[in-house]
Amino acid sequence: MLIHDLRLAVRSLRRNPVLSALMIGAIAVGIAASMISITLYHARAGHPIPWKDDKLFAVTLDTRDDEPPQSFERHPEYPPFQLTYQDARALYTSDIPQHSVMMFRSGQVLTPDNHGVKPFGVSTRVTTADFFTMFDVPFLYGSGWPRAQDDAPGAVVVLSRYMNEKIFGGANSVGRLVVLDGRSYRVVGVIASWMPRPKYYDLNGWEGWEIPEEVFIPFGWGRTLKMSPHGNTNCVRRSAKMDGPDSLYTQECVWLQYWVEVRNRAERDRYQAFVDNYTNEQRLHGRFPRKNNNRVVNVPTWLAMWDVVGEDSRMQLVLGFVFLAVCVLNTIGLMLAKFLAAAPISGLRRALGARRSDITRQHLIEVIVVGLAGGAVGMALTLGGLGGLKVLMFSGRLAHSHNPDRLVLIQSFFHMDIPVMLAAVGLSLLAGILAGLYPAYRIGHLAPATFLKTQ
Amino acid sequence: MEIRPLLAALWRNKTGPLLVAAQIALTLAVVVNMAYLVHQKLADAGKPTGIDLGNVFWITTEANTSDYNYAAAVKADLAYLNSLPGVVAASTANNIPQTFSNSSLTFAADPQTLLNPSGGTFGTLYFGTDRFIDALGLKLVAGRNFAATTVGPPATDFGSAMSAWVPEVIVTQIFADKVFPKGDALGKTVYVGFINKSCVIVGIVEQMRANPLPSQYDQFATQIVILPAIPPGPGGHYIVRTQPGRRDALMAEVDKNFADLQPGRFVERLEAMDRTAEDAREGYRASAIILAVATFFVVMVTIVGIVGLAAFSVASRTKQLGTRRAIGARKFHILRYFLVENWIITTGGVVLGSLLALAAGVELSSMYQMSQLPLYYLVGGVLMLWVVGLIAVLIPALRAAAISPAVATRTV
Amino acid sequence: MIDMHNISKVFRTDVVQTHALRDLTLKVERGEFVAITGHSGSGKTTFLNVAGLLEELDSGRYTFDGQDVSRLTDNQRSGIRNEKIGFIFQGFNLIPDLNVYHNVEAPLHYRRMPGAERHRRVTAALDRVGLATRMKHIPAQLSGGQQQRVAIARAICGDPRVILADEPTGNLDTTMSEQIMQLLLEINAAGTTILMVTHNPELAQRVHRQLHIVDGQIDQIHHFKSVQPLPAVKTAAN
Repeated sequence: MLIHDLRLAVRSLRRNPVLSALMIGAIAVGIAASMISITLYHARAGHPIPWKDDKLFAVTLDTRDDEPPQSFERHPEYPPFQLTYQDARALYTSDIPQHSVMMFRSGQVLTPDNHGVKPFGVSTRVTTADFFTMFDVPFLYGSGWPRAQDDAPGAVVVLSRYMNEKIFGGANSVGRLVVLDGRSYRVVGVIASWMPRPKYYDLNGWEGWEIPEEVFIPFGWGRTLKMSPHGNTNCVRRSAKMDGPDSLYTQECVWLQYWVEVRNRAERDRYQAFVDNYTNEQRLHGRFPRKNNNRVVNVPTWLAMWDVVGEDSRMQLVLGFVFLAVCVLNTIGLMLAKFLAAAPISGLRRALGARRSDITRQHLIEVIVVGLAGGAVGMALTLGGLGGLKVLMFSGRLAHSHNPDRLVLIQSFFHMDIPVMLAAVGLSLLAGILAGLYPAYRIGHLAPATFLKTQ
Repeated sequence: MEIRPLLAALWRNKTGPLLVAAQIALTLAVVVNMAYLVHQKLADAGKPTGIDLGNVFWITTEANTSDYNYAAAVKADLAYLNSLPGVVAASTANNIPQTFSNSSLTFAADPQTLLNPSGGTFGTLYFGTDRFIDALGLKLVAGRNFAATTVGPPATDFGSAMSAWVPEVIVTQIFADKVFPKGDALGKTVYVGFINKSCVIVGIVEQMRANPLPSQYDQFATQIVILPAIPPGPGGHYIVRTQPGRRDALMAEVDKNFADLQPGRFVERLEAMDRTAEDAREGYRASAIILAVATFFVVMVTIVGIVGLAAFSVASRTKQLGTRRAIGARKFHILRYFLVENWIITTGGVVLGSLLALAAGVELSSMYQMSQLPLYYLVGGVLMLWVVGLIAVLIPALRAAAISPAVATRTV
Repeated sequence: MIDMHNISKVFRTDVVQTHALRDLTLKVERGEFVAITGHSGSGKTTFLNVAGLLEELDSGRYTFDGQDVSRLTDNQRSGIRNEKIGFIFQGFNLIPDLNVYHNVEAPLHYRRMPGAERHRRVTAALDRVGLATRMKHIPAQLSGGQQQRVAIARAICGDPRVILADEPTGNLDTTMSEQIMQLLLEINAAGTTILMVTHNPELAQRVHRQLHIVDGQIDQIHHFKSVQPLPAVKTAAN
């Protein structure tokens, strides 16, 4: 029966090639538009570390002066997303969390052993030791360094996989030396491919759409070498004074990212209480003029707070669905017209014994075929559209990149993974069914005698 | 014109027309809002930078030895660059404009303002030599440039640089007017937040835009303060402006020779300023194109819908149309009937669509922090859809008018 | 009223040429009720189309109500059809989406006429055919006979000189056929010329004259009764 219906459906579509092309085309374009916007949205709405939803928390304190909000501030109720050095140091003393990290991004010059290769700039993460365990960074060789080496600071470095390939040809380089800004560091670890999307642990830069750093060194080097942070530095109190090399470490300026890892919810609540007590106590010394507004938030909340997805993605999603709606309405109209125009044949079939459900089912099958065909064409359009967008939106930045990981990151924006592909199939089926439900119903319920009368 | 029978017939067969009206409504909402959004994005991207983009290029250097003599290197570099034939001016800079890398402080005419909550005017900082404004091609409209002697050797860090800097500044007109609304900024003293220093405005440039930003963030792009200082090393930035047509050749020459001039450092990046500015706008332009293309396709789909309905309407009413002609309708009457019927459907869609467009406009304005949708976009959208509807129905309507009255007597 | 002289109409396709009407000559006097008979393919329908100015003739001369209508423009023919001819079709040809009132009113929209005047004529016509109570019904709600009566009302509301009827009882049963025939005879008695194409020999004998068409020409003429002298024809113009 189904084969018969399918054959009827295909024959019916072939009878009217222009109309069929228009119907399939309308659905295809609508599916393409919504699939492209879903893909882009899904890529940006990714959750990079879901298994640590209850364990990993960003810490922010409201260090700001008590002021009315500025007109351009999107969310004046949120505290700054980074900490001052003084506060980071104080929080670091707490033994409640299992792990804590304070860190910032900077830049250095790497001079390779091989004198034929020019020195080049690298992005450096200056961090305390817990970074690697907290963010589940996978290692190819070796490991991170112990906490003791943060303050010393130990002349050790962890390399990214790309860096290791560039300098050491991908071999196990643990124990070898790397020269950064003229100083030697011993390699203690090489991390495997790691690309959290977004780069949730540090939202500086392209709002989290950046590749991880290329080298990692202990936190103490920041002060020793007067390394300047590559990120937002914001002096949040009028009383702050930037007048010397050490100002970052002594003044009320926020510039450090701070995260903790706890074992469970209860520990998290205890930690929140600890943080609030700390700010209460500091308030007595004239700091933290505002009421307590300290946020210890998990990754999903963090990403939502700073709107990593962005209004462009959201709007494109809505636009995609509106587009699909217009296309479905269009197809309903075309389908209805086609079915009504072909009504005499259905009337004939009914006169020859077909039941109402047969007619309705036959038309529904035709509609589903149109939906799936539209989906298939729509898929091709989607892939083409994503490719074109990639070129359109990133060709400039792509050209600057010497790090192939950046290419991988950008390609991932336009990557349609399995769940999205399944969504595409589902969507085309749904679109076809929605478009055809009413026309199939209408045609099934027309009295057969209506068509057998000559006009 | 037989309006009442037309409406009665339309109502009795309302499914098709309602579907088309719904499409038109959604399309109007999309067209109106996307046109506005695209216009905003292109406007944001198209704002003038005040910089002579076509004749400027910039260099970033990095040190690769710990004993690199930055101060000496900078002096030699500037001498070399400024002496090249074809170079108009070369200066150091702490940040390169159009790269989204900025430093900023707050300023006020009165030191008390800086102590008050939300007091003070935002200013993006650029450290430059006496050749800075010429290196960018900025237009001095009041006062004077820095003297060469005002620019001292580079300090070791930002804080020390702030203490050592000779307290003169050149600012953009918009900054000057913000701090001194009476328009008398030249020669006045300005107090600087965070570093407890005051300085005098010795010159005013017409305009400069540090980065392409949406309009609501304009103050962060256009309020600029230039101070005479060389930024701390060991990495450095240089901005070079050439005579027209000489830039590409000079870029090649500098690329070849610059690194070797000083030991212990290398050229990290060398780029033409207009390229940098283009890349900075890539996102806006691309976003605008995407929206425009999507809107175009939505309109196309709706046109197909209108044409489809009209064609079906003609095909299924062939006998009726022949009969109308038989009883005395002229071709013109038939044409007019279809055009009016179509116009009514379009207008129904447009009325509903206007409500949708305005509602969506409110939502979009708050999402993007833009001002409210101006009404002329809605008017334009309505007119466009009327015209589009008319054009779409024209050929089916002409076909309908061409139906012969003899159709009425056929029995097939 | 109708004076056709040597009318020819040819249908040409790539392959074949059909002479639907060949040198057809006839005269119909004012007030006559003429039946046109003939087999399928004899050219009856084409004759009606040409007589009713639905199609152009290829050669010959056609004088209608004293006017030479042989070579008029489309707009001119539409005008004459609107004001001087009433059509009745075998399939009723009512507009399915309009109610009875609007169906009857339809031809009046194609000439200048104030709304009140239209209303008067429509109600008068519906009264005449006995369907004044069904003004708001749509055709699907009416029987075949009622639909044809509406069609007749539509044909007469414009005060035509001639009514052209194409198998008006072809889709109706005996009772309804009789009703329609009676109505047509009454309309003719009041002064309207009627040309009726019909298959039914019984109906054909109740009129003044019967013309039999074979292969595009008039083959036989039968007289059944003579035309009564008519009172002056009353039209809206008078």
